[in-house]
Amino acid sequence: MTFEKRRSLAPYICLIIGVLLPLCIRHPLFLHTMVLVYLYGFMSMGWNILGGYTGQVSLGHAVYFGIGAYTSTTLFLQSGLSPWLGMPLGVSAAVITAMIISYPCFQLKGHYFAIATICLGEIVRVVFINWERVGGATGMGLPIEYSFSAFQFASKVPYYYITLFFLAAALFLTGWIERRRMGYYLRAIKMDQEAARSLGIDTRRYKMAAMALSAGITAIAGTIYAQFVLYIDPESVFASHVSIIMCLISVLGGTHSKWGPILGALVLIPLQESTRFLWGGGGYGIDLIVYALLIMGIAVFQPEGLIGVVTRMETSFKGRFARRTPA
Amino acid sequence: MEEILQILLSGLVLGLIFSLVAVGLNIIFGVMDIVNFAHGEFLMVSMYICYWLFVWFGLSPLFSLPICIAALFLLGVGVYKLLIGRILSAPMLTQIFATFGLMLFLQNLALFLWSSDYRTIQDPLIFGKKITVLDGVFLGVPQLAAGAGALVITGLVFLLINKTELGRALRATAEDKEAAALMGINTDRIFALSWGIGGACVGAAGALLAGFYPIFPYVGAVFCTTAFVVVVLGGFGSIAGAFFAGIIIGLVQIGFGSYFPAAYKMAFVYGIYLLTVFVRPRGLLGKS
Amino acid sequence: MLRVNNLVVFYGESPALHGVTLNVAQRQIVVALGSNGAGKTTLLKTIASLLKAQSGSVLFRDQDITGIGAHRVVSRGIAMTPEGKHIFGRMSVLENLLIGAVTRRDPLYREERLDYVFSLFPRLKERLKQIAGTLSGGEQQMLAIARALMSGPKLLMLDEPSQGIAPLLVEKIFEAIVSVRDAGMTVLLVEQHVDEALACADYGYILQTGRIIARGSAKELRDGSDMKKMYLGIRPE
Repeated sequence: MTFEKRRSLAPYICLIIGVLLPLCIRHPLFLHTMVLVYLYGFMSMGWNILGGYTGQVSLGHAVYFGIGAYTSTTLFLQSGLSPWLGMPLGVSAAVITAMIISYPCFQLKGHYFAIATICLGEIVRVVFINWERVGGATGMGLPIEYSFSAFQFASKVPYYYITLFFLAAALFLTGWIERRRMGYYLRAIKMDQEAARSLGIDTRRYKMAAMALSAGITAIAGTIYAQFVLYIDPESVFASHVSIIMCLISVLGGTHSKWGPILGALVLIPLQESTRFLWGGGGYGIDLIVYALLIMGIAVFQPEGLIGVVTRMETSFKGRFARRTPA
Repeated sequence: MEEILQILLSGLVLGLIFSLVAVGLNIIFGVMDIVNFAHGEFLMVSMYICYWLFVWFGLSPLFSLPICIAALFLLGVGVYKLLIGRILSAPMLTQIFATFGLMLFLQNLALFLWSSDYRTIQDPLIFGKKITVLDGVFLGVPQLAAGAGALVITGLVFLLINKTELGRALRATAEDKEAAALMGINTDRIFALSWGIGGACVGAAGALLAGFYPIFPYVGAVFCTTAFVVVVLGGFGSIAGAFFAGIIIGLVQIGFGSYFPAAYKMAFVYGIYLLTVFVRPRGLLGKS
Repeated sequence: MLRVNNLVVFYGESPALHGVTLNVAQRQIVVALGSNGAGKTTLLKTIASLLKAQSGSVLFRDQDITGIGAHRVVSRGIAMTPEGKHIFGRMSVLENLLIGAVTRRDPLYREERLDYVFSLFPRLKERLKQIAGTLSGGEQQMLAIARALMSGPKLLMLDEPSQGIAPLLVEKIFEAIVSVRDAGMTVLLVEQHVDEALACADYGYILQTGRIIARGSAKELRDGSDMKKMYLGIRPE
């Protein structure tokens, strides 16, 4: 078997390991952490389609996360609609919002765009804090009702498989886009917008498409988050730290690769959970200090992200493999 | 009438502080093309320096001012040498996240070391003292000192940038790094100095603010995002623009906050940012 | 005065100069000719230490100045005007000139240099307070050259000074270059306009895709019809 063939099997092997893991390790803390890894990996992948592939750095993606969470939760509480149906409605709401927001914003470049997304995120957060019908500043809790249609489970295992499913789906979707014309266009826009336009690429249209996909994925993550935690308020879903964590995970893992966000989440989330566990209430800020050092270290020493390390290892393996197998 | 005058006065003082913070941000952005997302945390660091100098040595923030300026100058240069100088040619995303990482680092270090408590400096020299401007219109002495100090320091920075040899080199580097290097300007040194001067500005603002504003790990966030808005409204690269825009935003914040719920205040300021970038992207006094 | 030995420079992955060797003698105008992409600008930028050389060396007045940093090169006595002028458009003409003298702190020396560049380009004196970005293309080029002369260089490097300038002004610029040499300085000129450049130069090199393919006195290059034909063959116009 050639190296390339073996390499193309890697995603399936990862998936099989993912599927089998809960059969081996049943500790709730482990499952809890893995659910968060998959969930954050999933939504960071959504962020990465716009931020990493298209180069439009959004620091306000909490807007779509929050809309996803609020739409399904509000519909469930106020009209008993299953969150499974609330999810696509949340996606629609997020995509429509994204289109309205991004139409004017995409005329901005670089830092101007990034800061505009911060401003919009904060404005939306303030709106929800003052919107009493959806709970205002106190937010909304979901009454316990364990059933599939209520999207609530007593065990962590169903959440594990649901998040794994969405993560895998996003991975295949991203991989598919990478290979399509759209993938090339997005990368062209990232490299040089003017040049892309002069080549006849409708840059705004493709940026909007990337934004729609990105917002939609983030909204799905919002619904899952609400169903996992069963309590949402503006501080937990609309706050800037939600927007930031998506980018941090992608940047840490590597924004050039579909695997980057997963890798980033695999490092950051366990770090976050374990510092919380180790220091308990006293360790305020420890996890974020370590994060911050990681991010700065990555920026200086490994600007490609952690995926760069993996790629290097792969290349050296490939070299050894080639030497071992006679041509 | 008194109420309006009172609002104008408080808005002016806050605006002058905003100006100074924004001028620092603007110098770094103008020269380097890098937005310092940790700028607010520089302010926070300066305020804590003031706080501990007061607690340990009873030093009034007014006397800590030069110490804060020097300390933050060094912090700025240090950040350039250790972090920014190594990622000059990296993509924008990397640069954004490097300063983002710095922001998280400083914020959470403060949280870890000093908890999230709000602290105030009750300096017997000035704390709680007021002067009567008109009947019914007061101005706290710390606020007066802060406003006057910010005005003077912003003026000095303006002269530094526009009237000195160093300022000329800074402006040349901001305009065209390669041409500046060909003239014999050590651009690496200018980059470091721009971080130093930017830090010094925000260090001064922190010391002036510490006399009357609560000190806590997240205090920078409010000022940093406001400074972004001020810089954009005034025009990237323009010191005078940042000065006037700072005063405008200060007046707007205090004025708006007096008549509407405080929660909407920041949303309104962000609205000003969006309006500016969509309607007049080069800001009030920015150069196209 | 300037010796470039076997210089190899890469732009990213692809080589831009493959082993260029070149000499510039004192008080001469030496011209490097070649079409777009021949490596002329890369050559000047590497001498000026804006680009790093993969191998080879640059000696100036018998001292190795390879990769010492652009600002130090200026202090050693080499000034360069970049391609496409690159004046500081938001500053006044006077400020541009003062930036040129940033390595020379002595106010008397600056006065002297100002007088000199005004004698060379009287037009700049009339526009002293004007914002440089509002000057005409030709005036901007004059300013760029004057600015480079403010540091009192021993060697002046000019990257396509005639690019995008009205023909009448091109003549003026070449006159100024000759007068710079006559004032005792050495000039290394990069050009696409062969005839004008060879008319004023003392010696010339012809570059093609990062290699020197011909060299000789300006007269030899002018008369050597083979070389000229070879060069003209690849000229873009």
